[in-house]
Amino acid sequence: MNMPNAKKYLNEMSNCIRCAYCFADCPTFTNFMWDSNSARGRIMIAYGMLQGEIPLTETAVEREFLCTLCGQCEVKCSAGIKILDVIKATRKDLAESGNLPESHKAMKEVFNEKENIYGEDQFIPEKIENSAEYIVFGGCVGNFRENESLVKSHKLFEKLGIKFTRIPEVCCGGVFADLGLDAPEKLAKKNIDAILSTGIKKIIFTCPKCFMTFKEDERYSELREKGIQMQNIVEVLRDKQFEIKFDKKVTYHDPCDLGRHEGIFNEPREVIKKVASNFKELSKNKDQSHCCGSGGGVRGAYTKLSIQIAKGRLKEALDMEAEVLLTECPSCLHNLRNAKKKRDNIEIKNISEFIYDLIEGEK
Amino acid sequence: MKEELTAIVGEKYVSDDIIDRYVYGSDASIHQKMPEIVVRPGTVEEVSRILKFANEKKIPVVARGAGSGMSGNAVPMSGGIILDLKRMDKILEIKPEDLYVRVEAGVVNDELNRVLKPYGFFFAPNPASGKICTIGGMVANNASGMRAVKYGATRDAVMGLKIVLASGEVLDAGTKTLIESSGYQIERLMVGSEGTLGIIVEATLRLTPLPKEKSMGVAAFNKLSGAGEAVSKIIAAGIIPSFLEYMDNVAIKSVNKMLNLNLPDVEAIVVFECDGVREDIDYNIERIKKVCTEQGATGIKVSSDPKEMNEIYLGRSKLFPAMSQYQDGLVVTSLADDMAVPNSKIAEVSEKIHEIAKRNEVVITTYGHAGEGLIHTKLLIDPTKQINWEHAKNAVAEIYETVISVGGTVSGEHGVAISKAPYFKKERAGLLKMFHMIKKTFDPNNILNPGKLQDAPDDFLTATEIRYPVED
Ligand SMILES: Cc1cc2nc3c(=O)[nH]c(=O)nc-3n(C[C@H](O)[C@H](O)[C@H](O)COP(=O)(O)OP(=O)(O)OC[C@H]3O[C@@H](n4cnc5c(N)ncnc54)[C@H](O)[C@@H]3O)c2cc1C
Ligand code: SF4
Ligand code: SF4
Repeated sequence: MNMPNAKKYLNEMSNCIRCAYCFADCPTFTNFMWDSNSARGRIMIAYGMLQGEIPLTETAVEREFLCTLCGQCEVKCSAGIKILDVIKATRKDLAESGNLPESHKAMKEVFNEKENIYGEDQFIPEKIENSAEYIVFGGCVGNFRENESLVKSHKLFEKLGIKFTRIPEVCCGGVFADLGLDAPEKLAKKNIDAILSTGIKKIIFTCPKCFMTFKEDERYSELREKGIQMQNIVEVLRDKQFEIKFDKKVTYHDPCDLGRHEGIFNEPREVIKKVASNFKELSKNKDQSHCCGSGGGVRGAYTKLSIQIAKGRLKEALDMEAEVLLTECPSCLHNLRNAKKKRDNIEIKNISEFIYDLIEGEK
Repeated sequence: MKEELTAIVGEKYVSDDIIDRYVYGSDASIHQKMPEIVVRPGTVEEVSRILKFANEKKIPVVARGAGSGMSGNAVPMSGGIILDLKRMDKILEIKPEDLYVRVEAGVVNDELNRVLKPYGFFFAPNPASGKICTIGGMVANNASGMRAVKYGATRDAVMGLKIVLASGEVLDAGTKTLIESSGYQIERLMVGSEGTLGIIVEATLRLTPLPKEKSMGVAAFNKLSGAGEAVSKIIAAGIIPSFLEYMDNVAIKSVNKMLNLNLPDVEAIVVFECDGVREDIDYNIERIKKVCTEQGATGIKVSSDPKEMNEIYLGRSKLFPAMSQYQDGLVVTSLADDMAVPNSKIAEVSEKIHEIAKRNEVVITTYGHAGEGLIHTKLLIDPTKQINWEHAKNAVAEIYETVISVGGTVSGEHGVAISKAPYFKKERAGLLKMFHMIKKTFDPNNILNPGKLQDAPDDFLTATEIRYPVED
């Protein structure tokens, strides 16, 4: 198969020693237990198609797109293989030849008319504050699916005296590369224009994926060059003091995009420990943290698997008898909440939402 | 065939999809060959029925755990069925009072140790691949690890095995007792049999108490021979460290590059660990330091800080994969990778290996579990050029000749399978007839992992397809 994108990584594929270290804790391998559903499998499939040793088949496409891009395998891979780059390049070749899950095809079409992943009407900022110090960028999942939690983050900012505004943001476009697609040019441009037009120099991101995209994607380089400061919400909250205390057992799920991909592990813990006296780690935490199953386009294309993975992660929190499972990512929040059964005796919240609720509860 | 296998294990656990067949046709070796079908049994009875069927139809069956073997052990030379045993992952019995644990074959080494930890015990063979390799694969390859000098290899921990023979018959070999003197020790014969004599479905394994404390040290040497001498003198002094490793300069450079460990950039280092109670540890560490100094160590660093010790340990355990970052365009090949020689010969053989590398224009590193005389070498080549493979083959042949000439063996822990078979046959020439007889007795139709060990081709390079993109 002609795979110009994957071909750039031929050396990387050869360097993969096929040791299988990447089986450990891979959410898809753990769920299916077929060797082909691991990073080793995905690299081999890419290599096999590239070299003409195996044909392009539906199974091959599915294996490549089932990956949540959680990055657990890169932590485990001691050969230092750029696994996610190989998988994304392979997805790009597959997508360019029309071989991608139906939901991803639909995504492309959605963006012909709309500007968010859900095909919803344009996001209307609930708050415009021209003299603000910060812009809060909420992201598609926060704006359209976990809005209640996002609004509580806003309210917490207000209580903490953080002056912010929202903007008529559109999708950051970060998810496109994960699906092997090119993000529509208009998206970044609209966001950049909306941000620059406010004259505000600081952005707080409540979604780690948007945060990562703004910080790393070429399309947003203009903002970086203009010295716009970008912070994740936990970095902002770390410097704040809270007057409340909580003594029930609390644990924290590291979002892959915030933790493994951006290296932000300590800040959320520092924030939680300011209010929760009984904080306990999940057995798999920080760079070893298990994935929630929502990333890499898996929630859209393979919802059943996505929820299955989230159930596994939630079970870890239930098994340690945590009463609150915290995270700080609208996607993780959404998926973990979807996995929760009514009888599961646990609350699932973003950290900011949790603190806001505590403050309100005190009153 | 798919129909019969599906009737045994269910549709969900059988695949003849070309994608699965391709992925299951490879392990951590240079070899690759597709099976016809992959089946994932969940019970002893299913394994037995699969084998009965395969035996009747004379279809090859290759057992597989994680597929982390480095000699092509789980590569299906003659196609047939891959029997993936990872679903059989139950820990069946934990008996600290009788010093054993009984597990299914698909249990992963580190998972077993995670479960054993609260009991204050561990399963001692500790391969670097422990986070993924299975007990079945460890027994079948007689895996060992850094701590084998004190705690032994897998064979030393195998008390009993449940085996499914090629005919489908299920046998219990060995005992649950710590000693036995009751006839042929079939469980021992299965150790290192690489899936050619029977399928291991259960193992009764000896437990070892977890040591209370440990300390670690690194000694730097300007001469590889000094490091080698230090290792054999430490052992000769009657000290049993919990591990005793050495690394040459190529290995040190790779680890430093990948892990930022700042290991001393000398010709060789010796890494040692002592465990047990503090008084013994300190006493032995002092003795090791003395031996190293006498053998010309230019610097010795000792630590009991868990973080520092973990870094040293990481450096060693990630060495093999770290080699892949050594130089762009060169890949690490699993060839001539785990010879064992008498301890006193380590330095001499390591130096000869470097001469061989130079002569054959390949990059080679040597390192290993020196306390057990284990020499790992890694051959780095540009895999795209056929000529480089010829060079590698020549180097491998010379290395094995050297190893055999000093009374060493071609494989200390990874097994023989395909890549080492030509030289294994030379080393064990006097035993080949008996090996064939044993194989015939256990597996008269030659269905179990055929074409391996004594039955493997004499040229490992043409034995299977090579997994790399060779151009000409
Ligand atoms: C990076 C890396 C580091 C390694 N480090 C070490 C090390 O430190 N020490 C060491 O000893 N090895 C090491 N190995 C080699 C390998 O990991 C071990 O030999 C391991 O025990 C193989 O286990 P597996 O489950 O992957 O078996 P596989 O590779 O799947 O199989 C190995 C052999 O066992 C047979 N087999 C598997 N399961 C069964 C069963 N249930 N019944 C019968 N036969 C069976 C297979 O047919 C095959 O012949 C390393 C490998 C890699 C890639
Ligand atoms: S851990 Fe890395 S080197 Fe090993 S098989 Fe997976 S991707 Fe390849
Ligand atoms: S990124 Fe996550 S899901 Fe994808 S192969 Fe790696 S560990 Fe598995």
